[in-house]
Amino acid sequence: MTPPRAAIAAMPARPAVASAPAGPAAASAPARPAAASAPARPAAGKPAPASDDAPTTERDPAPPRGGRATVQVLDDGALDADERAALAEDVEIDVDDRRRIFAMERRVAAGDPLAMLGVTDASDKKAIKRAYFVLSKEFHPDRYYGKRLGTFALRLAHLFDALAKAYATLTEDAPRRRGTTPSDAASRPPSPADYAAELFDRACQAEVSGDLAGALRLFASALRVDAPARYLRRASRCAMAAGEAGLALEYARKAATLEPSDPSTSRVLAAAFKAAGKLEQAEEVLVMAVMIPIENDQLMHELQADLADLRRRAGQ
Amino acid sequence: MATEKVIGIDLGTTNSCVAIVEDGTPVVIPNRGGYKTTPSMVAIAENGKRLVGHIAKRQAITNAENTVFAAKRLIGRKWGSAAVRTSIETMPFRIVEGPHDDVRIVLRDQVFSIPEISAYILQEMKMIAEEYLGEEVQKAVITVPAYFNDGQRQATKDAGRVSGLDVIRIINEPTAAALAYGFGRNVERKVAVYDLGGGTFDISILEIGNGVFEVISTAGDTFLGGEDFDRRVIDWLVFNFQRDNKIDLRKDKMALQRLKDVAEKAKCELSSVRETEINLPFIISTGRNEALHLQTTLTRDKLEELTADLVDRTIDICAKTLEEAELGKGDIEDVILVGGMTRMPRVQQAVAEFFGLEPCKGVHPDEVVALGAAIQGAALVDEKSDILLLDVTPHSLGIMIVGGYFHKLIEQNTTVPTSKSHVFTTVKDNQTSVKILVLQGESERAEENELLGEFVLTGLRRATRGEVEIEVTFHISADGIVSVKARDLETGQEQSITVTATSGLTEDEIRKMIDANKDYMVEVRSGQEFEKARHAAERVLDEVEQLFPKVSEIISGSDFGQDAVKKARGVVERARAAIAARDLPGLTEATEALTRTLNMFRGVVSKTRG
Repeated sequence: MTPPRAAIAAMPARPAVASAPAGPAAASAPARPAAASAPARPAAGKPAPASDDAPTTERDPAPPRGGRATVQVLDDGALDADERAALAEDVEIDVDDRRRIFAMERRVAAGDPLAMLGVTDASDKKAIKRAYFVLSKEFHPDRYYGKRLGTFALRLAHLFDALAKAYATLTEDAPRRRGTTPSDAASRPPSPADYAAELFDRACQAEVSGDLAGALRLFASALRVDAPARYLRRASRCAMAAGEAGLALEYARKAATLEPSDPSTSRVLAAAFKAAGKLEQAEEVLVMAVMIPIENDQLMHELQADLADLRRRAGQ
Repeated sequence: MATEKVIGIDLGTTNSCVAIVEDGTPVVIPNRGGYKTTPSMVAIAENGKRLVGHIAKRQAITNAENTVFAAKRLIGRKWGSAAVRTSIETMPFRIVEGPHDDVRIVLRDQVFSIPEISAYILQEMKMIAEEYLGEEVQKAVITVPAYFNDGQRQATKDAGRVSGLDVIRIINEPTAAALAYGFGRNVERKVAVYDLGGGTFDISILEIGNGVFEVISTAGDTFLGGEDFDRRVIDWLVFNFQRDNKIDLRKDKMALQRLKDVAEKAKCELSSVRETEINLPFIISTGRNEALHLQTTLTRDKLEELTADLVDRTIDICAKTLEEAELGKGDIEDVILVGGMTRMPRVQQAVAEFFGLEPCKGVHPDEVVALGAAIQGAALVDEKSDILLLDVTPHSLGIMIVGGYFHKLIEQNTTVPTSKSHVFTTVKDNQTSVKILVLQGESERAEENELLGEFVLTGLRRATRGEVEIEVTFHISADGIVSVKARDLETGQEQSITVTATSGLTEDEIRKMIDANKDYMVEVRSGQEFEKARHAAERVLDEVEQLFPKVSEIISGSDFGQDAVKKARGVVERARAAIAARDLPGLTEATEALTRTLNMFRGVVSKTRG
């Protein structure tokens, strides 16, 4: 699984919108003069007339939809050549909104999900969600549905995508992060381990009553919360009984990474290999297991019996 | 200029409904007869005239073979699919194979595609709206079940185009219901939408706040709905009739149509009364000039018994959806019921029991979806709208990689618009082109997913396999349009497609394509992974070698011990061989065995010492 944070960091610092005229202008000339000369068509001083031409984009002078201003508008001096070119583009987005888009793009480029949503480490899930919703209202492409957007179509799509990923990153981490703080643990009595234990018990009950599919579902749920080797071994046995050899092996392998030299784990792992048709691996596991001295004679005896049985079968 | 009018259409399996936002208020538009919903039925009369809606329904009994209902069950389906098989057996009209592995319907010797049939219904809805508004309507938002795949959505859009509508957005029915529920109320909560309609079941979880509607998760079953409940009643009637009279009513199309009507009616009545009379005089002739009648009583308890497993199935899907969204039942603060089937008391009871709260009564199950569609339409075109829908992609998207596997780039339930890139490499030496097969679905086997499109990137440098890197980028726009780009990272050359229509290929055809294109497949970049795996393996290898003499000394006295030493030798050699052959899967497996060996060795040493 790729961490969402990496996905955001991998985004280009600025969406790859460098339109043909803007690119060279930025590269060839010092910023200021270039901005004055390059976009000769829509030209300097266009912002005001642009709103006159398109009265539909002219709304209240005050905050846009979404209620309140969420991003500081960049003034002229702070803009780079690419942004100035975009500012001069003939699109149906009013100039202030464009500047807000630029400002947001810079926040996104910095790569910090907290800063992107304008929240802090201490913000709870609800506050993060509210911030995300407010920003979504402002930067989701649907806000400009049916408008002529030019390069801004891509800018908005990238911007919103980055916000959504930042939100996912923060809210996915949030429960775990908060779950570890003592104050929160106290306010939420059942700990994850307790919850997993309860699910595990229910799974065992289901298995005993013959509902293997139900048991496997419950085991899976329990293991998502907490996965000690004991649970994994039991789940693996259950999966074998249900004919789910692949799943059984997956569980047994996980158990083996947790308690590698535990004889019970070795038995389950060998059985899972056997069920998956991998007799050689099964034998290997058992052979290694019996060489470790253990106090439990019964268990040692069972291991040896398993091995003998396996060899008999392989011999046939 | 006044904002352009956009209608919202709920194109249902059994009934359709149209709505619009007027002066900020969403309203359902009644048809000429004053009804708020219109049967999704199309018929060709004896004189060749096309009949739609109530008129079509009224003549259905006498003209069963030329009356289409539940066309939604067939839209965007492939001829070979199970859905189509079932329909052929149960529908009174003739279903034939179309030229693109699709489905056609024959009515009085005329052949119709499914989008055409749906288009007639949409046209009727458009007309209803135009008569009401007194002006022409061009734009529409149409709803589909959440679980519709791209082919079904595309076919629905096609139907819109045929009917003369510009379909500005397709949205999911449960999402629409949530929009209608949350519209004009300042709520901030998580809600579940349980949608059991005529032909499909959907469950969606949404988060609502500040006018934003965020879809968190959505799932469903495209073949579970009210008609399955009807069929249980029909089966029961047919079975009892056969037992008493030794005649199979299914053989007679007119009798079957009458049974269907009466079953649906009885089912609906049992939502408000405890038992109902079923009375079908002259249902069939014995052939000896003597007519038989069907007369019986159906109780609510019996109906619940006949359909208990269907209700259970919907609850199972609810549980699965919550689990996938990593939510508990307690996280859901309201449940919205949608679809005519949710009038059934047993359904309401099951939902209330599962979620532990009474379903919300504020919304009308038959109208809520169309209202929501109209709200989304207005939200898109109206500058002043304060509503935003954050929709998700209903299925995972990715490409096929070597071995016929499906490599997902975008997971299902990801909020759109979104994009994602991944670097792949060539799989053969001197491979100069790669074929990108764009797939949609959840199976890890490529052929079990839906093929959305394909393209080839050529002109790659001749090099050893794995050396040339190709970056594949997926983008989904806010309106769900998928575009895919492949770029040769070395030369910057690129190719792209925008997925606009489905190709209508079957699984077999995809499989054939996989075979034919083996040499052009791409492989997930493995070089780096191999190096990582080698390092890990070598570390374990060193330690095992160090312990080897000591362990041999301790255990080689016994038979078991000698066996174990031999096995351990074998494992070490396997790992070395895998490293030499640069065989990543082999090495991964050998390392696992090696780690086990190391742990056993450690166990032996520590136990013996202690």
